Amino acid sequence: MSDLINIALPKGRLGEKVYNMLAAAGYDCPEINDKDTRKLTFENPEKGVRYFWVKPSDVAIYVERGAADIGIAGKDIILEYSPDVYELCDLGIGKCRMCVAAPKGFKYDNEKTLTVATKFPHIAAGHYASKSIDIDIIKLNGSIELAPILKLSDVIVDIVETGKTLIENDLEPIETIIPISARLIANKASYKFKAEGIKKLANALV
Amino acid sequence: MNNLDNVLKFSEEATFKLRAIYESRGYSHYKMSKFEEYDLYAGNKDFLMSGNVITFTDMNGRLMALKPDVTMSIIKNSTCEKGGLEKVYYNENVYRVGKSGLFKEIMQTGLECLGEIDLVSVCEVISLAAQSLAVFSDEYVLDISHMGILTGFIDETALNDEAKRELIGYIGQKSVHAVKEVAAAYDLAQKSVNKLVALCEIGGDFVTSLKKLEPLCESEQTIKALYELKTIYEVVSAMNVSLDFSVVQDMSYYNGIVFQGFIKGIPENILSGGQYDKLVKRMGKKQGAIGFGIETDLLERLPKNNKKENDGIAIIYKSGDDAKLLNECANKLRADGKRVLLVKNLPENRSFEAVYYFVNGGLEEIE
Repeated sequence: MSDLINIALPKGRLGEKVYNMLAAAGYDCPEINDKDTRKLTFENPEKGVRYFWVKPSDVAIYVERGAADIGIAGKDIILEYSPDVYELCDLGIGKCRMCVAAPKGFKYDNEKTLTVATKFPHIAAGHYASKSIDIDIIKLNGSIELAPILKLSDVIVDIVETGKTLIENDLEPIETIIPISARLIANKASYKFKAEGIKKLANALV
Repeated sequence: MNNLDNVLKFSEEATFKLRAIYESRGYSHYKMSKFEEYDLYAGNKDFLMSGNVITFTDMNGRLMALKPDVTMSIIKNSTCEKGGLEKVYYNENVYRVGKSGLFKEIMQTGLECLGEIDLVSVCEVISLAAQSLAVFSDEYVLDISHMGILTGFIDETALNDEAKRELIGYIGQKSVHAVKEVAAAYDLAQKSVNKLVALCEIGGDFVTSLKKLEPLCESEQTIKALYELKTIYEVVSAMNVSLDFSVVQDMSYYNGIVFQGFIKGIPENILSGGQYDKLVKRMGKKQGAIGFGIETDLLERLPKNNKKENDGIAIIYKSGDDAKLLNECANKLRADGKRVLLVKNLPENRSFEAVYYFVNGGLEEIE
């Protein structure tokens, strides 16, 4: 653990947006914008930060295991993996919903087991357990919308941002499980030893 | 080789130092078997860090478990008389599911104080927890929380049990935004919200934290808990302790002080403990108890755990060489405190300070 604050950014638009927010708050690191670089970590010792891009679903793991002191993770990832971390603030960006979606006109038949395709088996299992509905979960890693079209599943549990992909595939959201947005998470041990720096940075984001 | 400093790993040396500290306070070593009847854990699974237990059937058809926890075995076997105190420490392997989702053998050192627990015992155990952390590193923090304050503030909201559990989880995550969302959903009074937010935000310097906490403690339960925290601080003020209510434990088992210890360089808490009178009572005993456990395996993460700079000296000999002369040569080096390995072929993946051939009854160094 170095004295720099190690920040795991999720690859993609959300991570870029958060970096821009941090840069505007004085935590910039110019070399991160160099598109030709093959470097994996970017540091600015003067500002006391080191950034690295990771797959969005891996941010929580990097933070929980202490490779990153803080990170930006969607509430979906936090709910799915339940990492033992501090969730310091809701950044209010990257907003979407975790939904149950089904082919248009779908009717739940309680005489048979509901098949649910999802990238988020824990969230889906928890949701249906709270309603005492018996389900068969099919864990997929992508193209979830394909599952009900090909009759692989009755419904899907997935993130819905605009709902455009669903509409184009004759699907519709039938239930919102939980609203999702980006959260600032921190490793519990790092927070003990870098508290001042982490609090200052968190304040710059909200 | 008489100097154990060169042989013991940092974690092994630390374990011996912990034993010395606990013995100096009159705690006795508690040795136990690796197995326990599964029934012991079945009724109190939530007390375990993971509900998964490795089980097997013994020769008499009883369902047994490889110990996932030491505390429950100590409580079960406690013979503490009324008014007395039983103070024990242990170094045992326990078997639990780790973060990877697989079973792990974990070396745990800890202590338990059972009997009529008073503030003297509480202060002693907290002080021993801080001293234990100081053995590992000067850069440590012992976070102290009190279930009396936590449950006191939460009970004042008069929410249902599910919402209370939710709030405790959010306080454990220092999630002010989530606490405010729950408060808004249940239309909690602003006074209650302020108290719950304070629990998320309090941290760092103990004295400042106590000052922030004091005006919020109004009920008999929270005022008593505040007094306990103040007394504890008077005893351990010279140590790196902080007040932090993100240390939360299961309300069904813990009732008083709870705490967690962190070492710089280790990405998770290495020490965890608290007062768990409720568990003792659930197990049919009348006394209370306080204790803590340390996962000493985590010390491997510290760079200083591997003290060996190299693998010492290697002497390469051939079959038929004079065993007596060879041993004399090696012992001469060992007498100077060197580690000496006798081999026929130099092993790979080892780094030696020097390598010698044994030739004509003497040693020839290889560059």
